[in-house]
Amino acid sequence: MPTLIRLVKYALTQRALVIVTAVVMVASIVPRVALPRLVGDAVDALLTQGRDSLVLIAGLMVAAGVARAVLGYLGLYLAERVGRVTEYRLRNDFVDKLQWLNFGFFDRQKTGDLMSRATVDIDAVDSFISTGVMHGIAYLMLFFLPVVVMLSLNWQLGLIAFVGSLMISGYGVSLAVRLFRIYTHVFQETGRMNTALQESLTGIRTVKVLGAQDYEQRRYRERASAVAASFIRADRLAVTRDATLNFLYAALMATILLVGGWQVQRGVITAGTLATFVLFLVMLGGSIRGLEWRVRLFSTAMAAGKRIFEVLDTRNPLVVAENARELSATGHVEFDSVSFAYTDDVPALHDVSFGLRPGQSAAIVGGSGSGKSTIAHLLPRFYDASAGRITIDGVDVRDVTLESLRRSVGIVMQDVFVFSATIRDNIAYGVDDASMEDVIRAARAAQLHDFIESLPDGYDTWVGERGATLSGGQRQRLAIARTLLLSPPILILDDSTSSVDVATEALIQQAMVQVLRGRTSFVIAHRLSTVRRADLILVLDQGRIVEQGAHDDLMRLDGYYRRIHDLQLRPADELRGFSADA
Amino acid sequence: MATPAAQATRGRTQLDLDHDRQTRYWRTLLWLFRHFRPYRGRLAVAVVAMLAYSGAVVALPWTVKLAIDQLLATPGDDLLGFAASVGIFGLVAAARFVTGLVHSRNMVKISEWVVLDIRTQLVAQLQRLSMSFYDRNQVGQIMSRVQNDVEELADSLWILTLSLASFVSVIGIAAAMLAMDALLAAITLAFVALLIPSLAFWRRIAHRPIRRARETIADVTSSVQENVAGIRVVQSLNRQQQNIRAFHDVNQINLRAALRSARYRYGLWPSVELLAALALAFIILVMGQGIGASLSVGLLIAFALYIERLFEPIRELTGEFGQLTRSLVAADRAVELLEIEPEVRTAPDAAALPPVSGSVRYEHVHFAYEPGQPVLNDINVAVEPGETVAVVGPTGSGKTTFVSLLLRLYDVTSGRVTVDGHDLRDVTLDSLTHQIVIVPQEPFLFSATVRENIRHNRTDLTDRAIIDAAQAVGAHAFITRLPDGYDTVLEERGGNLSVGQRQLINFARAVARDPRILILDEATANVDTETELHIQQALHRLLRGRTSFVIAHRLSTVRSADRILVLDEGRLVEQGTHEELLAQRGLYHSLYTRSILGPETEGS
Repeated sequence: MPTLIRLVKYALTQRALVIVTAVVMVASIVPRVALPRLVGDAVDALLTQGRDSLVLIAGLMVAAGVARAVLGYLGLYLAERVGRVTEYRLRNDFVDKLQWLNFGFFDRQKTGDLMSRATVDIDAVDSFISTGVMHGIAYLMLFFLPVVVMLSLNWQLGLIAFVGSLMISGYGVSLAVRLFRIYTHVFQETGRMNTALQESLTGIRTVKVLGAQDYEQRRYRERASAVAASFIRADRLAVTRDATLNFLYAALMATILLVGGWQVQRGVITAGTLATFVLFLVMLGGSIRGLEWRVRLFSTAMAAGKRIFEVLDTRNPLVVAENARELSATGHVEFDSVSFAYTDDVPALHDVSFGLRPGQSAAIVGGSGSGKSTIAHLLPRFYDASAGRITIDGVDVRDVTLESLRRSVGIVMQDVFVFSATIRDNIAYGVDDASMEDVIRAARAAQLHDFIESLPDGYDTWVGERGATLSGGQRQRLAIARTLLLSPPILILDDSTSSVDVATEALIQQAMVQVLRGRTSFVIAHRLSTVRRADLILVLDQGRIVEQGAHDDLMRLDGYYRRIHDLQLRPADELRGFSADA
Repeated sequence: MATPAAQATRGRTQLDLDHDRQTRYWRTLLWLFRHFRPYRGRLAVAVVAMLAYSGAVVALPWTVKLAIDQLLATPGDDLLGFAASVGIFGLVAAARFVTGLVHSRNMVKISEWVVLDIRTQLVAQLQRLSMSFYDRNQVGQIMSRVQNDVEELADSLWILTLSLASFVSVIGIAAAMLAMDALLAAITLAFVALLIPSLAFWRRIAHRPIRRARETIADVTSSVQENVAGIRVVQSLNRQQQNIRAFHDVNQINLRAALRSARYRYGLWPSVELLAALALAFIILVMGQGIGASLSVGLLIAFALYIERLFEPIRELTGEFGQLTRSLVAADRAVELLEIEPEVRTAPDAAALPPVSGSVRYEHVHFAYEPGQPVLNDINVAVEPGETVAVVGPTGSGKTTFVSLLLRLYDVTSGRVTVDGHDLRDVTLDSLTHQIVIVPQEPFLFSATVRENIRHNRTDLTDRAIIDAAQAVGAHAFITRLPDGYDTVLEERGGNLSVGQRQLINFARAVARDPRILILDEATANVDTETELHIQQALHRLLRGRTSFVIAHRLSTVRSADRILVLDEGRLVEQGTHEELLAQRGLYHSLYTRSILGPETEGS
């Protein structure tokens, strides 16, 4: 049970708290066990007319009650604390881990699934640690302490109670194991249902414009019905088991009554002892039920723990060399026979080589899926090349710290994520202590300043989860401003100006001319007007560089580049002529 | 258009995250009970079984008393009579087993069904709510309501039924004790009565910490969500350390709130424990004084068992009461979500939009997302069937909003939008979305096969129609190259499809629907040149005979439109053909010359 050991280790990071809790838990059982004994004593005192001792017994009962109340409350609170702190640590570690995993991991994982691990599964671990382990200690005591007392009172009766309880709990546990498997399955189904819902909410705009609300709802209902049906099957088994256990306990009680009654008549035990046994047996039943419940928590927690550790144990393929250096790049970039595959069988890049001197600009062109973005993602090490090497200023990117590498390589990605925060915080996202002036300067350069100023709260305007209140163009410019604020020596613009309208794009391009000056840059652009200006044009087709060179060279080559160039620019050239006439 | 009405609407569409909001217990409870209505037959069976079960639970200690009293009353070795009374005990236990099963098996079903109803009701509501709701609320927060709150509710429904059984047992036990010995029963019940004020007190002070804990966990969920969904940006900007710190803070706040809530939740525990012990001690003292009629050992044992059984349910009830409070808070949040009125509503007498020819009119249309911030101002446009209209303007000029109104993602603030003379607000949304299709700025794909992504809700589309659509937009070639062709399952983010390929699938989705009115919202922006050439050829065919609105970047696309609408700061400033607008030398002319000539002159 490596999962169990690891979960317990997590709880044990707060050793002192765990020990105190365990002690309190055990201590809280003693006054509970004392109570049936005291009732038995009272019975005997009543029968023997020893009424004076009754005052003492009553006094002890009150004392036991006080102790039980105080220790019980303390135990409950402390146990919850142990669980919560474990949950807190586990969740911190989980999110910490996510921060460092590479893009490949997030390509494979669904957001909803990761979310359910971070929430539902960690909650299950919490209740296992607090209600399961810590209360479990109390329930174990609640089982064994009465057994010890009973054996000492009368070993025959004690043995019947002990063996009987063990057999009943053996039956209970065997069913609990079966239940575990069933519930695991049910929780998986629940996870799938939630993932599907999350997706239809994230894509709600698409759902609405397709008029697919009813359809989505129907699909959800189907999934939810399946989940409900599985829960019913599982719960039915669970309640049947509980009722059976109760009945078996009643049978054990009847046995104790019969044998005990016989012993009382033979004068082997007093009526008080029989009373104590009866009350203890009720207690044993309670403790067994309590332990059963722990087993159930255990089962779900093991499944949950496995899913959590799966993420925590994910080996990050991005290994940073131990003696990694800080990179302070001038911007000399070299791709040396670089190949890459997202999955083993489909190569995305094949033997790509090119070099760029500081301050030079490269434009990457090619069809959908030709590997343009892949090149852009390899340089800041979002993925590692599977063969070949990439160097900056002659140093392999794998030999420098990730932090300094990504500080040196700024990227504006296709997918712009806007955090729910103010616009200012969104622009300053990558920089710790950006001054307002810097933020404004970056916004101005990205042609976003005027828009921000037009908002009622200006830079303090809150933007939504997926930047719902910003248009595509505005988000794109936000991403540009973000990257500009970092002022990296190497800049990658991945499709960055594409969903900006013509007017804005013209503005951004003017800004870019300023921004790119003095930086090594990669531009993945669809507009060949942008491409033309580049020092080096890389033409990609199915993961290979089919042509590379400057615009004029490639035009002379009369190949692939020329073909797309003509497609793109002819209308504009015509228009220019037309416009000049007008 | 900052009308008070609009302001009120805004209040209704934002989920209430105000931490001090009072939970409306009774309303919520009533709402919850209404969901049990459809299952009343089964519920009746369960309740009867529950009553019988509680009866058996109450009777068991009594049979113990009878057995022990008989044992002590008959000296010698008359074990037979004693064995017979133990037999009665066994019979009652068997009855408890059977009735308990009938009760719980029925309740399992009922509570799962009720949860299912509530789940689907919530999701139906979420599908019904307008875009403005999603603009204002985070998906993480919404998910937390449907996921965590409903699970909380599911737990508590189950507990609620157990509590009912406990409650009936308490009444039964009280009655049994009174029947056995009135004085001792009165003493015990007096101690029970002491519980009630502490219960009320506890309920008042525990409410807020419990609610606060729930809210802070929702913050944790949102924060994780952002860290997962935005991870690419986080990593590219080196924000990991800061995010870790920020998350630890949010997490810590939740930890503190949870612990505080725990301190209150267990608040009633000590008094229950203490009162149970006090009651038993008192009874022993009273018995010792010989006060009261009977002094039987069986009675003392029965009372000891009863007190355990009496205070146990009450303790459970208080524990469960905590759960119940939590779940009522959860249910209240669900009700709150259900009470939000969608801003875009179909009129009760809305008719299906008949097949249209495609004439579109905007008449004095005003629109504002937020009161006081008009996005569109007095737009008047009449588009003839089959016309291709290009919408241009600087970023933020209202182009996307303009077409969103035609899709009725939002309702106009004033004025009206008509299709073939039908006001959009007078037709059903379904019939509208059947005839108007948009290819949105950002392609969104569902985790499903390519085929399902194109077909989606239009189950009437044949496989042939899907392939035709894919071919029409030039997506067929790359789809057949995918590992499983049309049956390739796409991942949430579109997997390793490029943005261009995802866009093509979106195109195919639109084409397959063969709409009368087509909207392209900057749709060609993310497609590379070669792919776009395919699309443009396809679009040329596609647009023919349809009314279409194109928000395009490329002036080549704009130029070929029948008409160009130029928007600026929410106003329609110019309209006409390319040549007309150039001749006007207005905004269009300046947009055009800047974008075409600017970079070129710079470059060469």
